[in-house]
Amino acid sequence: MRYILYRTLLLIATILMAFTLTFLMLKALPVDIVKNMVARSMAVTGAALGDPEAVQRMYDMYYELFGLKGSLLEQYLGFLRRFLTLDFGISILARPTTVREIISYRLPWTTTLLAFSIVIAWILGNIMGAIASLFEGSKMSKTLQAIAVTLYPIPYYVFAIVLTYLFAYIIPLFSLAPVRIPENIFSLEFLSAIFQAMTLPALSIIIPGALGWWFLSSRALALNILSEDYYYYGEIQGLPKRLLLRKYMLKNIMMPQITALSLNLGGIFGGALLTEMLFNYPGLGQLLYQAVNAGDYPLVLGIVSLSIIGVAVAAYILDLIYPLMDPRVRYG
Amino acid sequence: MSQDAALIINNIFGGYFVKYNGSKYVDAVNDVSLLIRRNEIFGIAGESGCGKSTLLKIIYGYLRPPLIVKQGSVILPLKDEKVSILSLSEEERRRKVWWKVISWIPQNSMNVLNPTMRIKDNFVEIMRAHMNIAKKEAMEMAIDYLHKTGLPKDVINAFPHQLSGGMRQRLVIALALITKPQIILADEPSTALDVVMQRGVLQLLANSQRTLRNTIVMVTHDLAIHAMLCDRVAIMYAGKIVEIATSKELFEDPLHPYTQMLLASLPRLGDKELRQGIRGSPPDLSAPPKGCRFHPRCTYMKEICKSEPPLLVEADKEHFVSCYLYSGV
Amino acid sequence: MTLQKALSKSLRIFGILKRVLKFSKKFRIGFILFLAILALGLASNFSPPYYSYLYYLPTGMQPKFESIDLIFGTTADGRSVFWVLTHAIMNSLIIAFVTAMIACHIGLVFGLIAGMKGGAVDKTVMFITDAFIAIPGLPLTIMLVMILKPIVNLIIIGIIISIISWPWSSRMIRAMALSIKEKDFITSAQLSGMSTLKIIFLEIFPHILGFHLTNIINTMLGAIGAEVGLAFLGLSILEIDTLGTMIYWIQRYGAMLRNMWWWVLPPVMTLIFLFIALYLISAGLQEYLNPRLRGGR
Ligand SMILES: Nc1ncnc2c1ncn2[C@@H]1O[C@H](COP(=O)(O)OP(=O)(O)OP(=O)(O)O)[C@@H](O)[C@H]1O
Ligand SMILES: [Mg+2]
Repeated sequence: MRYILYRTLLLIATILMAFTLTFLMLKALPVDIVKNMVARSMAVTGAALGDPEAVQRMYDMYYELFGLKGSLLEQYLGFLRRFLTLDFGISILARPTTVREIISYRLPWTTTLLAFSIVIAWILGNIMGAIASLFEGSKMSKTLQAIAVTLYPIPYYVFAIVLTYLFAYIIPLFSLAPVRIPENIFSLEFLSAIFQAMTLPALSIIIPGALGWWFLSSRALALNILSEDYYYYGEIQGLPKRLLLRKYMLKNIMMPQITALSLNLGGIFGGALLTEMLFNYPGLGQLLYQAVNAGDYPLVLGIVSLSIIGVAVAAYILDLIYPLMDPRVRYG
Repeated sequence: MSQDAALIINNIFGGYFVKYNGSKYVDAVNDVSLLIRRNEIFGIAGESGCGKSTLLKIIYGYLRPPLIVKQGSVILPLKDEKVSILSLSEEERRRKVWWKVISWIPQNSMNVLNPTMRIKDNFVEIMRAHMNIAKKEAMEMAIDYLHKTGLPKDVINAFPHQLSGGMRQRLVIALALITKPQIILADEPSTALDVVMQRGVLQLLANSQRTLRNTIVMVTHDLAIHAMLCDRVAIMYAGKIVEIATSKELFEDPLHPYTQMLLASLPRLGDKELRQGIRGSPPDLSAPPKGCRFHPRCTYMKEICKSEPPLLVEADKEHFVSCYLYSGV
Repeated sequence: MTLQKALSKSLRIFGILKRVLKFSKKFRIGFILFLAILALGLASNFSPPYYSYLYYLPTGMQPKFESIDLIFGTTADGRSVFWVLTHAIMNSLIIAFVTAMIACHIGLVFGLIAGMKGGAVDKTVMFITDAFIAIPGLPLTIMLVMILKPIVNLIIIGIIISIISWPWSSRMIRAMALSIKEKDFITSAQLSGMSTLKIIFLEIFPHILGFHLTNIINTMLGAIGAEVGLAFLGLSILEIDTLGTMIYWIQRYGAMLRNMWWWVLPPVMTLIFLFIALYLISAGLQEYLNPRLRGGR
C-alpha cells in the first residue's frame, strides 16, 4: 500500500514538475510569443485582417491559453487545467480544428506503432541476450555482441536515417512518400497500406532496441544468473534446457528488465517519435514536426503535454505491475 | 568385495584451469581413489579449500569450465551394467544417472532454490524430468512425501524467501530424496544452521538412509557429525586422501599426523582451556608442496617427505593411511 | 590548504585515465576514435573565412581531391562539406561539454548530499530525482526550446538538455556514496572529528572521481543525441553548424533523394563513430571501476 501511495505521489510530482518548468519558461520569456503567434495566425488565415476587435479577441484567447491572464495563481491554475486536459484551443496549422481533435486522430497510429515495436523489441532482445549468454565465447555470440555494442549507443532516429537511406534509396523496397490510407478499414488495401507505413519505422525501433539495448542488458543479467547458486542447482538437477531457460533464466531476467523499461520509457518514446517523423508515418511525430515548423504553439503544447502525461502514466503502470510478477517484492 | 560397491573411484586427478592474468592450474583433487559401499554413510572431512566439493563435482560428473578431469574414472555398478560416469556425455548423465541413481545436496543449500519458483514447482519439475510422470501425479506425490517426512504441508505453495533457512535446507534434502536414488552426495548439509536445526536436518537424512538402505556420501568439515553418523570416514588434505577408516577406529586411533592434529583441535566436554589449533595454514593448491603435501606443517617430518609423496597403504585392517610413519621406506 | 589537497586529489583523474588505458581494450579503441574525431573538430580553427558563406563554391559537387575545400565535396547550397563538418563536430562537442559540466555537477552535488546525509534528506532528493527521470526528455526539451527559440544559443541548448540529464548522474553518485560511506576509512575520518565537507572533498570525492568521469562521458553521449533529435524538428540553432543541423539541412534539401552520399555520409558516420567512441570509453571505464569496487578496494 505504501508503495502504491509513494508511486502515485511520484507520478503527480513528475507531471507537475514538467508542467511547472514549462510555465516558468513561458513566464520568464523575454519575447512575447503571443504577438508572434497572432501575427502568424493572421498571415495563415488572413481572416482577422483589419478587424481590430477580432485581433483583440485573438490576443485574449492566446493570453488565456498560455496562462498569461489574471493573477499569478490564476495563471498557474488555468494553465495547469489546460495542460491536463490538452485543451489548447484551435490549432494554427489546421484551423479551425481543435488541437484535441487533431491529436485524437493521430494518436492511435502512434500508440499502435510504439506499443507494438517497443514490446517486440523488449521480448526479442531479452530472449536473445539470455540465449547468447549460454553460448558465451562462441563466434555467434561474439558477432552479436559486436553488433550490439555498435547499435547500443546510437539513437533510433540516427539509425533510422541509415535505414531510410538503405531501403528507400539504395534498395527501394519501401516508398517514403506518405502512405494513403483507404477508407474501408476491412479491405486488403487497408492492410497493405498499414504494412507499408509501419514496416520501416517499426524495424528502426525494433532492430536497435532488440539487438542493442535489450540484448546487452539481458545478456549481462543472464551472465550473472549463470553464476548464481540457484541456476547451478537447476543444472545439476538435470532439468531440461528449455525449462532452465524459461523458468530459471528468463523469469529472473524479466523482473529487472521491467524496471529498466519503465525507467527508459521516456527516452525510448522520444526517439521513436522522431523515427515516425522521418518515415512520414501519419502519427504524432510527423504532426509535431509540422507544428514546430509552422510555429503552431498550441499544437506543440498539446502534443508535448500528452506525451509527458502518457509516458509518465505508462511508467507508473509498469511500476505497479512489477511487484505483481516478482514474488520477492510484494506491496508492503 | 566389489559386490557391495556403490561407487568405485579410481585415481582421479582433477582441478581448475584458471585463465586470469596468465593461466594457472589449481590442483584440487590429486590421485584420489575410493570405494564406497552400498548402505553406508561415508564421510569426507577436511579443512576448507582442500577439494571436497570438487571431488563431489567430479564424482557426479558435473564438469563445467574451469573444472577439468585429467585422469581417472568413476564406476557406478548398476544392476545390469557398469556405468563409467566420466565417459558418458552430459546428456547421458542427465538421462541415466543424475537424480535417478545419484542425487546431490549442494553446498550452501539454503540458498540454492530459484527465488521466482514456488516450492511445489521445484518438486514437480524434478519428478517430471526423472520419473516420467504427469504433473498432477507428481504434485500428489510431492505433497504426500512432504507429509511423510514431517514437513508442514503449506510450504508447498511458498516461495523460498518466505521460508526459514532451515526449512529451505530441509526442502533441498527432500528434493534429493524424492526420486529414491541409490546414492546421495551431501555437501555440508547442516552447516550454517543452529544446533537444534542441525539435528533435524541430519535426522532427516539418517532416517531416509535407514529406510531406503542407500548410500550417503557426507562431506563436512565438522568431525562431530562424522563421529555421530558415518560408518567410515576419509580425511582429505590439500587435494589428497590421507586416511580412511571406520569412524570408530578413526576417532579412537587416528594414524595420520594431520588427523591427529584435527582431533586434538576438537573441543571436548570438560575442557578447561581452549584446545590447540592446527599450526600453519593449508597450502595454495595452485602451487602445492612437493612430496607429502602435509610436510611443511608436520611435526614428524622426515627427509623423504619433502621429495616423494607417500602412498595410501592399509596399515591395519580396513584402515588406510598415507604417511611414511606407517609404510616404512 | 584543503583546497590544494582536494585539487591534487582531483588530479588523480589523469592517473585513472592512464591506468584504464592500459587495462581496457574497449577504452583504448574508444579513446583513439574520440581523439581522431576531436582532431577533425579542432581542424575547424583552420577553416578559411569564406567557409560560412552560402554559394561560395559550386553547388552539389562530388568530392575532388584537388583542394581541401572540395575533399568531401560541396553541399546543395555551395558550402564545403569538409569545413562544415569540422565546425559541426566542434559545436556539437561544445554543447555536449556544457551539458556534461552542468548536469554532472548538479548530479554530483545532489547525489553526494543524498548519499551522505541519508534519512529524510536522502528521501527528498531521491524523490525529486525519480520524478525528473520519469519526465520523457525529448518532449520536455522540445517544449522548452520552442518557447526559448528567440534567444537560444549553444549554451542555452546545453542548459536545457542538462535539465533532463542530471538525475541519471545523481542516482549513480548516490549509489556510490552509499557504498563508500560504509567503508572503514570514512568512519575513522568521522571519529577523528573531520567536518562533513572535508570528508566529502578529501575522502569521498577521490573515490567517486572515476564514476563522475563515466557520468560525464555518458551525459555527453546523451547530449549529442538530444541535440540531433531537436535539430530533426528544426529546433536546434539553425544558423550554426552542428551535427544535428547538418542532418536537418540534408533532410531539408532532400540530399538522400538526390543521392548526394558525400553530404549524407560524413555527418551520419561521424555521429555513429562518436557514439561508439564515447560508449566504448564509458564501458571501458566501468569495467575498470567495477571489479575494484566489488573487491572492496
Ligand atoms: N570455480 C573455481 N575456479 C577456480 N578455483 C576454484 C573454483 N572452485 C574452487 N576452486 C579452488 O579449488 C580448491 C578446492 O575447492 P573446493 O570448493 O573443492 O574446497 P572445499 O573443500 O569444498 O572447501 P569448503 O569447505 O570451503 O567448501 C580451492 O583452493 C578453491 O579455491
Ligand atoms: Mg565445499
